[in-house]
Amino acid sequence: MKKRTMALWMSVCMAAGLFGGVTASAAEDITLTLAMCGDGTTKESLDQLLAQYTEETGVKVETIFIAGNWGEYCTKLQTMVGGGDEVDCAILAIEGVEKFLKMGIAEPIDDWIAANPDISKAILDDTSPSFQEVFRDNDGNTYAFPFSFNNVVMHFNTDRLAEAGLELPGENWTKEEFLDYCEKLTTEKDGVKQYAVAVPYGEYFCAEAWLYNNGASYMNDDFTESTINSPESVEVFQLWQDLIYKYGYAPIPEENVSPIAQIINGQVAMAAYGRWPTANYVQDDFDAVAIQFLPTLSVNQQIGGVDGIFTLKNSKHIEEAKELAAWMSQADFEGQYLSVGNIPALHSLAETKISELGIPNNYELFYLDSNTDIYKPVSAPPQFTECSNIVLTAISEICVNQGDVQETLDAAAEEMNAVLAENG
Amino acid sequence: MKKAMKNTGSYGDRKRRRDNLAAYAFLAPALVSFILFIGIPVIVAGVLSFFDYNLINPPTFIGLKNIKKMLADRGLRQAFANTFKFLLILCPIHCGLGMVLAFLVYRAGRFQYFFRSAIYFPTIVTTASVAIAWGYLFSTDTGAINYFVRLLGGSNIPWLTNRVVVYVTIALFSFWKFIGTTFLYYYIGLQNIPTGYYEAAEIDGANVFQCFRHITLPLLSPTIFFVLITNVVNVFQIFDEPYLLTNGGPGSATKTIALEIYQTAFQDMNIGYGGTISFALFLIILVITVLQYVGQNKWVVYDYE
Repeated sequence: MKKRTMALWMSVCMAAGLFGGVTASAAEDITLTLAMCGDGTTKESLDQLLAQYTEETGVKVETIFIAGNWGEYCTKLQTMVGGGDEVDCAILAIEGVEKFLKMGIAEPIDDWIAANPDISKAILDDTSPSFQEVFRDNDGNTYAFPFSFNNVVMHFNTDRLAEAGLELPGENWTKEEFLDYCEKLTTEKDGVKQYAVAVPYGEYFCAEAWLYNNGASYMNDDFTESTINSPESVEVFQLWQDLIYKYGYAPIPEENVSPIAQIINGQVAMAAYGRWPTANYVQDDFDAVAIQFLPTLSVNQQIGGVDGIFTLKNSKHIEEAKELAAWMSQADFEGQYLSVGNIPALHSLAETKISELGIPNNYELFYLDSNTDIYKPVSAPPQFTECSNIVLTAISEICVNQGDVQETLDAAAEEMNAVLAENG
Repeated sequence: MKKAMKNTGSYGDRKRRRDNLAAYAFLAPALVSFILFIGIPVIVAGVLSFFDYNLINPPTFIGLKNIKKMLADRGLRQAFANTFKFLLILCPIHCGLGMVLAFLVYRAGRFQYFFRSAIYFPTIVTTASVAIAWGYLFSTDTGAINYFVRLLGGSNIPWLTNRVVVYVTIALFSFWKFIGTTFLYYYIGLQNIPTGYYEAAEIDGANVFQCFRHITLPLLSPTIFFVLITNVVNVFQIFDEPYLLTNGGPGSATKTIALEIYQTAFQDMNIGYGGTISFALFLIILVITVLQYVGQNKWVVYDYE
């Protein structure tokens, strides 16, 4: 009897050990796939940081970098998911959020927030409520924490300012002051024209920053109707065309010419961008650069574009994927990963990281009040790619092809309304 | 006697069957890849025309909605118009100048090898990389070409930023990059013309132009026909040059049908509508090619022995 009992206990222990082993090895074998937007220059540092995550949790993470802008990234991600590729987590900018929510690709993280109230509170208290809102659907479900963001400011080549005897303008500079700066900054050097400013060609996000400062936008707040042809919007598009053809302050934009490179080499003195050109500045050892808010055309409304790490619904390891996304949204990871380029969404972290880099001059504008509601998110309807193509074609038509501004924007509005209505 | 005939017939049948089998075996790789990569996708594009599909959610049948949308699409009309402009510009350049170049090089004596290599070289270079380089060359303010224009006292030419001049730029790029292919076809065609005809014509006192007009042109007509067919098909599908040099701009001045399909299907992820446009393009190319085949009887000479 004793022998039989012993044998029974041993069998139970062996079975428990076997199942325990299976469970343990299954946990060890989990490999998550994380999609990031970019050309892969940060892959090495990201992989090193994620190795720490593997050490802490035993979950391995494979990273995939997809080159291109946010629109192209979203398209590629959509193709991968549609094609059956296993992607557990993906960084997603505001431009693709509505579209992905509408397609039902993303997984809500409300249960994770409820289970981890302290960590969640620390993140949410330190980030902009308007950015948090971007990652919620109409039913109030949350899909991600804000990870990093960009506002749009005017970048100045300070050598060009000095040559023209100009100081950095004040933060409430007006359209008249802006045109005065343009006049003084348009010169000629060695037979080549030096321009004052670059118009936001091919830049959906940066172009709308100008519109916001004149009380305009591409579409209304609930994305049901285009407002790109409103009088305020027409005024801004007309200004861009005039900067090129009437005043000669801006070069005719070209497909393969980057205004960031032109700022660095001094061919252009000003251009509106987020923080991402700092990566180019660091790479080129360029520090003669300062920033200021865009000129106040009629109002001073900062634009904001934010991204977050999403958990995808088709993940076979949903809980682990949510853990990873949340881990990446906290200060430890963000602080090590985001040194140049985007601004950390955590306000306290942004203060430290941005001052550490030290450029551009007046860098505080990148994070001033970034835990408040000062930003108006860029227009990003579910039909973002279609609307973005319509806007960029209109900018090209007006700024390159000298099309009639009102006529071009009326046609763009009609086309955009059709797109918004069709898939609405 | 009867038996012998029967045996001979069986042997002939067997041989014919073996020959046929061998022919099919040789044709199989091309046939299979044609079916897999062209035939099936064309059918799928046709079927998808009746669906709304974004790769993620299941396709939804929407009847003729995509076709109605296509007929009312102003942007697409512009893309078709632009493509026809490219057809009118690029086909004569490739078909005409390719032949002239081949004829000149064919008669260039010992420099033939050099010219052949120089003309064909750009076709083996990656289009994307050279297009970017050409983009820089043609840049208005900082481009090398305008630098020389300014040196000569001229002012900047808007190579890529003017809706008319941009066609000249793309034509120049296309000529440099792709003329080597048509040149090669013509060159091979010229080599296949028996030299006896030229010798006889010279004895009769014909000059170079008369030889070209009365010997080269007729005997080269099958090659001309082939080059014409392939060029028309290629120009209808033109994508690389406008995409890489102008991205369809300025405005939408160089946006072609292929660019429109790419944007619709692979940027907007409107696969169904992209399929509708692709299928329409396929039908247009098919009709034009059939017309070209029908018309060839009047001018193509195959039997000149």
